[in-house]
Amino acid sequence: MNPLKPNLLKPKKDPKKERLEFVKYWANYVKTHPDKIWSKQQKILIDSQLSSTKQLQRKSKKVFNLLREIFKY
Amino acid sequence: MRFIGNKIKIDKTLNQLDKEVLEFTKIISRYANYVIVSGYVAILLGRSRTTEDVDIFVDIKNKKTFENMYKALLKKGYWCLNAGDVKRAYTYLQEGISIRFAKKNLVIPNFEIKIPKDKLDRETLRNATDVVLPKGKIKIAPIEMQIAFKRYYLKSPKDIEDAYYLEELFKKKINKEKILKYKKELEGK
Repeated sequence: MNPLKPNLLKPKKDPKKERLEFVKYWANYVKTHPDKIWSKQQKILIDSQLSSTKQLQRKSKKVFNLLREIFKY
Repeated sequence: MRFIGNKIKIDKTLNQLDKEVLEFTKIISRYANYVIVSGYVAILLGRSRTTEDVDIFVDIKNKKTFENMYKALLKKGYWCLNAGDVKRAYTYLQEGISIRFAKKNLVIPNFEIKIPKDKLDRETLRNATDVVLPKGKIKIAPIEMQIAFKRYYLKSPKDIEDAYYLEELFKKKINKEKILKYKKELEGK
């Protein structure tokens, strides 16, 4: 894929076909770009999701411990 | 991403999930042979999604080896989500029930360990592909097996997308006959 003239994602009316078209587009992007380029984008997605999930789990535990303290159970 | 024999070399910037999988597999590989199957395989190879669990087949030879592995995991800050002690955890595995480990105080991501229970599982373990990363190595199920398992056995929209992704990514490198062979074996599962 030429970065100056990138291939365009083909629009689809059917959401299911649109999803698969994106999956195909991304696979082609991974194939045609250096590992560092695609993996940096993947890292942003995965790290942000994991970070917010972990924060939520820790917060839930704090709330649980606080409730246990209040209600003495 | 390069195929070198039975290895795949990826010079990727590791994400948090990759780092956690490397850490976990480094511990268990001291005690047993392992192979990662299902969702994380597609993610490791670039799929733009994440997962809450990482499925692993572990070839545990005996109870003592498992006890040592269990203790090592606890020492490194993991806890077992579905078994309160090592004896119960081992019993579960023997009964074909998987056990899950996560970092203390956390549930996600977790590592779902199961022991290979049939010919296909053992074949997956034997024919594992090494993925070589900048900071270590991870063993994954053969790509053809992954595609067949997701496309013909699991079949959820997410799994179909994973299979489609792997087919597109390895278009000229995968053995289609192997996929059909695995498909037949999965139909008998």
